[in-house]
Amino acid sequence: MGEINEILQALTQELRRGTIVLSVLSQLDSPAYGYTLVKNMEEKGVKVDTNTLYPLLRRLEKQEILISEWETDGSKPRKYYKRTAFGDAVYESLRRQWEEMTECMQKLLCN
Amino acid sequence: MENNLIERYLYDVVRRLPEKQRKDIEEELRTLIEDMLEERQKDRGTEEVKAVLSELGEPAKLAMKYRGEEAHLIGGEYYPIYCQILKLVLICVGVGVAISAVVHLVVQLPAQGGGMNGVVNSVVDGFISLGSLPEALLSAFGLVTLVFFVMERNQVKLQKKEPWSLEKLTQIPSAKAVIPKSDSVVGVFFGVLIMVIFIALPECIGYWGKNADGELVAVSVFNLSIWSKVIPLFVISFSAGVVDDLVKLAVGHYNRTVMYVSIVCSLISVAAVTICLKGYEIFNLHFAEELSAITGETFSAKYDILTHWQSGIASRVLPNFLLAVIVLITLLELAVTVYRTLRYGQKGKEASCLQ
Repeated sequence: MGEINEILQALTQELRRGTIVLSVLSQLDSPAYGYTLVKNMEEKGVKVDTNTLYPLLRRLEKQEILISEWETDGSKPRKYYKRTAFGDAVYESLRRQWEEMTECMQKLLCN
Repeated sequence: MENNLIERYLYDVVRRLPEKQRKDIEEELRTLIEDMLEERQKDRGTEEVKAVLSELGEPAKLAMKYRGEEAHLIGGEYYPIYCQILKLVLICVGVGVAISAVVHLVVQLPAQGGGMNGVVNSVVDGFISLGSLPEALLSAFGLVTLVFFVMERNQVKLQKKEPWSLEKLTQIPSAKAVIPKSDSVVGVFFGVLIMVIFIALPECIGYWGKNADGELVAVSVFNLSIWSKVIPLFVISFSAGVVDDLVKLAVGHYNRTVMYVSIVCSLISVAAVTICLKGYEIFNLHFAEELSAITGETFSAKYDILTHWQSGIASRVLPNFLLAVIVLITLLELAVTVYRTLRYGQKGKEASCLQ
């Protein structure tokens, strides 16, 4: 029975993986710095590993969903990401999908 | 010390990334690490650095996340066909090297002088040339992998990508379309064996006996003086047969690919044999005379082919008969292949890739 934790962990992780993009997109209406994003989301109870988020941001940028800019005013150069117009559209559709999905899931789980 | 650790970590990540992205990712990660350190403690010691880097995890894994889907050599789309081609190529290379080793062995035999020593020496030589097998297999493996790697990177389409449909699903080969592996293996084995004997030991096919001095001598039925000219034709002819059998072995059932290969190989084989038998005097015209000289016998019986050897048997009857037999057997085999393919083989799309 010791395996149940392991299995559960893998399943939870898989469940969470699907929500990461939506979570991240929801926070990038205005420019945000990667590590601040991690912290903010953590405060709201959504834990994203830093080593997952950073590559993800870059991938979303490559897909032109996000746009980035180096901010060199502070003591250290920081890269800020925010949604593009295309990203806005993607985010809106994804969000609607999510709402539909949670609604259906709710119905399933209530049985 | 801690800076050194950070630099080493960064280096270990970015060295696994495409050149163009390195600087950017390095900067980004460096700031991130600084921020993570600051958050933990104002005065940062080695322990903190270690904790932060451990949290970021193994450099190879981090780099892999950055690389995304390119992290494989040959992806799922190409993998099955890659395996099939690899199998086919490795079998061909293996058989090729084995053939050359055997040829080498047999060719060396007379040069080593007779006796037990000579045989042992040439067997050893043969094994030495077999020693190039791993190298040949590795090269073939590397080459095939390289080709597929390039295709993967450039997303070369193997076939025009059409949306799949139920109608286009590959047919399950009918039981009657299956080619027994043993047939192909026997074909390859004897093809190679006969080729080797014809190439290397034509002088041994004929009469063996002791001459007046009691020495063992052989009289070949073949005309050895033109042998070097007909060897290429033999090689072409037998190789075509061996290729045909290898394709059958690899595919395992009759289909259009096998049928076309068979037709081409049979044509090549028959053409080479025809040139060989009609274009050259391949039999030893003086076989009967030489035989008489050794045995002291003369051939005069009316129906003995040796009696008429020089006056037509060797130059006309035997080659024509041989040619007829070879053409007949080849056509018969080809007919079976064509019949089974058309009757039981699959129709449609599958023909374009080896199954």
